[in-house]
Amino acid sequence: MNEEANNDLLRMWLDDDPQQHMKMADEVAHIDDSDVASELLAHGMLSGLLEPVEEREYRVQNILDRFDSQVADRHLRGPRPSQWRQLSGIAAAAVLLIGAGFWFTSTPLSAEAAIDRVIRSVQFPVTRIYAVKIFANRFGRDSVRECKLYNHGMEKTAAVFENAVRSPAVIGADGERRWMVIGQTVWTSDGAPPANGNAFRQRLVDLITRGHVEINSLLTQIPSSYDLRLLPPHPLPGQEQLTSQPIEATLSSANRRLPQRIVIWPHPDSGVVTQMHVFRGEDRRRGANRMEFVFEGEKNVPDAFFTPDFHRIDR
Amino acid sequence: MTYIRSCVRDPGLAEDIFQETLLTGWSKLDEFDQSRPLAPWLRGIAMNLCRNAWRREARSVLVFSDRMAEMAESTLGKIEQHDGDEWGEKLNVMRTCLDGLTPKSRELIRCRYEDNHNAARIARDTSANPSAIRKRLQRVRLLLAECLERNLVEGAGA
Repeated sequence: MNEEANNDLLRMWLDDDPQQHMKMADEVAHIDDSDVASELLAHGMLSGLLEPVEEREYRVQNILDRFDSQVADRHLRGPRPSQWRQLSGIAAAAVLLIGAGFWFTSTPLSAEAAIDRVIRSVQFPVTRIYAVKIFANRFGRDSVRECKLYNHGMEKTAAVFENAVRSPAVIGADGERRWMVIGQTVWTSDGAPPANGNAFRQRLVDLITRGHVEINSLLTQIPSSYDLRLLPPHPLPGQEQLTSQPIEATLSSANRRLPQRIVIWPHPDSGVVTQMHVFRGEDRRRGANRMEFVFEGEKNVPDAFFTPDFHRIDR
Repeated sequence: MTYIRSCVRDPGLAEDIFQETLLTGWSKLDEFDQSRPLAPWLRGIAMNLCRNAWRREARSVLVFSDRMAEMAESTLGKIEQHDGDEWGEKLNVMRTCLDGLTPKSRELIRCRYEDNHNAARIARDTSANPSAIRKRLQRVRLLLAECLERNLVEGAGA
């Protein structure tokens, strides 16, 4: 096959539907032109650069979902991808759980006022612990994974996966950096432009830990991205002596990265969210999954707990 | 993703390989020498996955050879070697190069990549010959590649 014919094949490969131009790999194997490599690079960059934002976000979501599902599919592969995916969801949801303010009101709240109270309460600087369960179903197989979530105010987070195959397995944020500690591996990202060629690595950390970023994002998006309503008063699950009026938030925007539905049980007196269920939705690729958060109490932990050095095994 | 898109035509397949690359990289993180740059290591993983995909897809779609992948890798590696700029800045340079195109060329690139229309569809919409559209796309892409290289070299020399 001559060079001209091969170049024609390249053009068809780049700019037409591949199925219309079936060809064996060997037949184009001898294209050897530096222009071709340059053109391929330009093609790759343009594909990424001009990709619609929604597709890019969907792609990121798919990656996070696959981090989650990988362990569900193959238990022997270890828990690490799952953990990050879990925290992504956990962190997104956790913001709603970190309630610490005490507002007493005898007048009924609207759903909007109730969620506003929850949102404001997360700013209280106290460390609260939540038991988190992640239920997933992929290709018909159910799985449940658990972690302890420590939250201190809006910025400090640590999710500890105690039953991880490779330990320690902790991801978190200390207000300045997002970080992850898995076994002996510690990676951090401070969000600043990398100075020494670590851009790609930092971007990967950002991608994996973006759940931390999404906390504030989800928080601020709830009023604009969800339809809110108050459900009938109901005894708090596990604390039947207390009656709470759950808040149900149903996704109303087209943002596929947000959970489909969130149900929150705020404390009737303080407004602290004591339990929450997050339904991430159901589709062909992701399967159904939900997360359950149960408030376990407050605990004094040192500030260092929210740094990676505290958790690394060689400290 | 740029590298994978350079080697795999089908966007869905490219996305799958991209995801698989990150997942594989993540599962082998302990094997990664953190004193070395991450991008080439991940591209090595991606290249292997691309090869596997080519073998699977060889009888159903037009695919490229190892030689092509190596050329793409080499070109990308060369671009990355320019000091003092991260990938986002290189994309910004590409944006600048795009802005420097003629309106007609910009529109062609927009149709191809933003609207994701193939050459046949663009030809139909513009009453042109598909072959001519493909040639024009080739020329514009080469112009952009030259512009990118020139600006990166000038930037490095500045």
